[in-house]
Amino acid sequence: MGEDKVLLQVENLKMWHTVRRGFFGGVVYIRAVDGVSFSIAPGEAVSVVGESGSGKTTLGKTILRLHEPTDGKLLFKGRDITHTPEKELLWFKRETGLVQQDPYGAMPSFMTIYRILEEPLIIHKVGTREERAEMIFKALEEVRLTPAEEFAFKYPHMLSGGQLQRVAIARALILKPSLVIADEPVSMLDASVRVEILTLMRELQEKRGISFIYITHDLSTTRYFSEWIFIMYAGHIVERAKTRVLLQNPLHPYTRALLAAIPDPDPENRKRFREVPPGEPPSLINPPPGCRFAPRCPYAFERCRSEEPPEFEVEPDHYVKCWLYVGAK
Amino acid sequence: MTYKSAIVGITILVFLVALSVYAVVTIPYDEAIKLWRGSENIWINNPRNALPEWWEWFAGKKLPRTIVLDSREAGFGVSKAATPIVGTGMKLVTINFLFEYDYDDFPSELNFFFFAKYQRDPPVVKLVIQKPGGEEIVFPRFLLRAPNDTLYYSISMDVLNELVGYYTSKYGGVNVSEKLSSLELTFGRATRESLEAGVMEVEKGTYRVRMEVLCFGEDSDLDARVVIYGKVHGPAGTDNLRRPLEIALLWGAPLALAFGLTASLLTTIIQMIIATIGAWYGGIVDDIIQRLTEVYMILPFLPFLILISAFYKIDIWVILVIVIVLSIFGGGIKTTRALVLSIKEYPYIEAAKVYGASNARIIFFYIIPKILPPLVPGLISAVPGFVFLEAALSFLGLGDPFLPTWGKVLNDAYNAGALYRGYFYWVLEPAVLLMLTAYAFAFLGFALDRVVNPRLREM
Amino acid sequence: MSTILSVRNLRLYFSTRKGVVKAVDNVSLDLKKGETLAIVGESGCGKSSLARALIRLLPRNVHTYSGEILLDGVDVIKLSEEMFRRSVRWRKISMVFQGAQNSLNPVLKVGFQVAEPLMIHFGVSREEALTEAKRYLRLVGIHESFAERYPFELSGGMKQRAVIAMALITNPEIVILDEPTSALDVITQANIMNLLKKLQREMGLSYIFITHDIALTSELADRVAVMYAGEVVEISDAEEFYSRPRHPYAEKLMASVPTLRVEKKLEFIPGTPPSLINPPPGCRFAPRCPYAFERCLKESPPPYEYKPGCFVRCWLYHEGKR
Repeated sequence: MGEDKVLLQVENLKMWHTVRRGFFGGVVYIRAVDGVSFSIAPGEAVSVVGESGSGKTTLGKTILRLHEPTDGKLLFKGRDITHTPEKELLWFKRETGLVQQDPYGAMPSFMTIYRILEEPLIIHKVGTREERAEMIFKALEEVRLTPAEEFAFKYPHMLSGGQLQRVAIARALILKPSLVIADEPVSMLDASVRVEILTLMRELQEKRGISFIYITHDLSTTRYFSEWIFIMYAGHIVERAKTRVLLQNPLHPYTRALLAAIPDPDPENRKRFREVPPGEPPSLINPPPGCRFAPRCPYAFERCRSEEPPEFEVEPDHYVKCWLYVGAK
Repeated sequence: MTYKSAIVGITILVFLVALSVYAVVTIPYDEAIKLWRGSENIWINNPRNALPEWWEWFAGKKLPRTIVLDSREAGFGVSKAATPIVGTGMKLVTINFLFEYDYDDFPSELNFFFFAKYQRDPPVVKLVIQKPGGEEIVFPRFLLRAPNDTLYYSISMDVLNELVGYYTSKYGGVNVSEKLSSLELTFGRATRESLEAGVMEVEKGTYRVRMEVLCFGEDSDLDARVVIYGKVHGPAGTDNLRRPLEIALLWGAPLALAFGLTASLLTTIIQMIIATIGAWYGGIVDDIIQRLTEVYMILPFLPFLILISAFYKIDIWVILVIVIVLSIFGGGIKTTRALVLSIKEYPYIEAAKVYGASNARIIFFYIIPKILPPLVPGLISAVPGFVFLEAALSFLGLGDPFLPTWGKVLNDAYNAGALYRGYFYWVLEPAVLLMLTAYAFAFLGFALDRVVNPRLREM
Repeated sequence: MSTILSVRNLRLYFSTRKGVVKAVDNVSLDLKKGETLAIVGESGCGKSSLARALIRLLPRNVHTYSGEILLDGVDVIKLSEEMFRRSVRWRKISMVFQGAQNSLNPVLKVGFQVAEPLMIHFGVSREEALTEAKRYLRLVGIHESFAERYPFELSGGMKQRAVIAMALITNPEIVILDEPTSALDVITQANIMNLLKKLQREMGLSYIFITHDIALTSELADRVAVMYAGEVVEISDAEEFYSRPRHPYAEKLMASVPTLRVEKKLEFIPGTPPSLINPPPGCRFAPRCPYAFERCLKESPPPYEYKPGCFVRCWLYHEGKR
């Protein structure tokens, strides 16, 4: 990334879920995130794109320390938080925020909007009651839920999905964090509302200079949102590049397949078949040796099936995890 | 609140609460126990095993109420005169009782209570009963055996013989049926035929009882009380110890409600906390709690209670504590745990962890408020179970022996063979009250369940 | 191409505690043989209710179910439930439901479930039905050994294919696809779309393709119908629709869809759809429409045929303002 100021540094991060098979049975690992490295600068917005099962959601939760990493390193503002016990992470929780996929599930149904926004402030002992009230009303205005007084005392079930997602954004930002992770924030909303919410998030992100990790399966929305795109497949980041570059010049075969598979509204689509690789993503319990996309990759050769490729920097700010590019640095 | 069943339930509940309040206000707790424990003397003026007054409606005839006349209390129908006999140290005390008897049935009992004051020689009493027709039955003089003596008129053999003798001589050679009791002979319309047949009608009218008492000594005196016991008493009747059942029925209400509600409330709350903590922390804590619960659930509840009660005579509040202790690891834990496990995965819990909420905060402010509503119907529906539990214990004679609860009333009834003797009300009244309580809470519980579980609303 | 299905003035209203929900309110459309009609709209617009109205899978609280559904010349809405079940449902029209992968019975083997429609509707024997089932599984790209497996052993994409096989096994003429690829990843979605295209060509099927994803409709649609608040506000040929949607709502909807290959500025539609219980008088989109004028708020516009077979419900066109 080349900035000397780094907000978040992830080094070979691994997060394996343990599953117990049966009462006496052995333990099995679901290798949801299996060796991921990148860094994010302050104020930078990154999209993490992948299908369900790619590990993108687990990556987000691990970065927020909702899970403890199985291996690798997690550094935030220079401090190693990989294995820090939860009680010592209160400072970190103040610096981070989360916007979730389900607007209704993300809100406690028995609290008013005011109380929902007040909770983070109470926990971190911010301000007096009057000061908090002001902050809450300002937060509501910032996400355009006005008149704020009216919305503040409603209950979640009285609001629409889009409105609740604004509350979620307000809640994520109220402690003035430096990093916000949004996990599929618009996939449960109607098409016409998605743009509104994404636009709002982008505005606030740029205005406040917050780093954002936007997790999604919808590649088409990333262009409006982030500087960088990370493509995830089966627990690995297979390609990292600046948004424009990746969309115009995808290098990894999976990225190409992804792009080829997404339709734009075009009446010619119905007349032809799409070229897409067959099959499904591999099991995360017993991933194949070598490159995980090899079984489905039209360009796979011998080495792909036996050795896992490292990341190659094919051009400045464009990294690909694929043996096709072994010639590069 | 639009469910008819809920309205019925609430109405019954309001009624029971009103009853409870009334009971507690009119007869304080200690009073109630003292009264219920009461030796015969407290209730001596009550008839034994009397039917409730409303039974008259069904019986179709006027059933007798108890008549009490006491020479110590001035009143209509009572008169007393004391005349010293000149030249001796004796006094002639005359007591007259007068009462109207116009009931369609005979009294259940007739007793004379004497309260005498004397130095050395007890007074001599001559008793004369004058029937409405004017005829007088004179009884042989008798001595009091003690200053407070009682003549159990209705069961006294001497009295019976005297009565039979009287009628035999009056109707020359009549064969007085053996079926006739002293009361029938005293209060019945005597004819040769009825005497022989053994079936008498009540002779209605004014009865007079005259006592001529010879008292010895300067300060000697005599007072008497006559009690003509009716066959009905009070709104609920009496039991074999003459106790008015309405006291126990009334007081049964607050006791049942208190026991049931307290047991249910405490059990639910404690279960909720245990289940939440187990489900939240998972791991070994959860495992221990689950295994404990499973063991608890297998153990037989009632037999344990019976065992404990049989060995230790305990009062109701100790029973309450034991019941709660035996219930806290019950089945409710499993269902609450399931609820908590699913809530644990909700996004808003995850969000709370991200903004730094502590485990305690999440448990008490985020999880428990969400699981309370589904628990309320269960709480309400569990109350009748506890009420019946207490009643069962009392019925088996293992509960609190002095407390007037509905179960205790049933226990007394059973021990006295109430149903064999036709004292159906003794069993019916507490049973109906128990059922009403169960219905009230059940209806309320079902309605609440439908409010809380929208999916059930379709049903 | 002949018209195989003709719907006129279809109404489906539900009774609820809050009032009568007019889920499908006076909908008319045509489906030609071998073609795909896409029905596009956001959540709550009534498109799923429309699907159920066509295949007559109605809940208990139906208030009104009226109109004409002409299938091969017969008005099937007038048929009794028994006749409809025997002659129409799963014989002429079948359906792939939303979230179909979850509607497979987890305790029955896949082959048996795919074979079931044959056994139920045609009284075919179990062995024969299973053989047919295996044939159709192959047709949708699943190896026939999977017939002996249980649903949990299949991936999401395979379950979706199995459900498609189940819809096709009775050789219907029309298949209603209600969000057939939601919850599937993009590559699997493309594979399923390829499969649907292949099947349509090989078997001469006619599709009614219901989804909220406008870009996805272009994979199959020959014609597109846009639903808003229980009404069809536009029906256009594919060539017209994707380049120039006529109805203001369709236009705004198209503008809100992010595209991968074309650079464009995204717009959103402020406000929310109206309640289906008390829709406003006049055009239902008027409160949110940037081009609305007086008449729009008072009178509900009838369909305007701007090209043969293409309709718009908008006063702008009636009054020649466009």
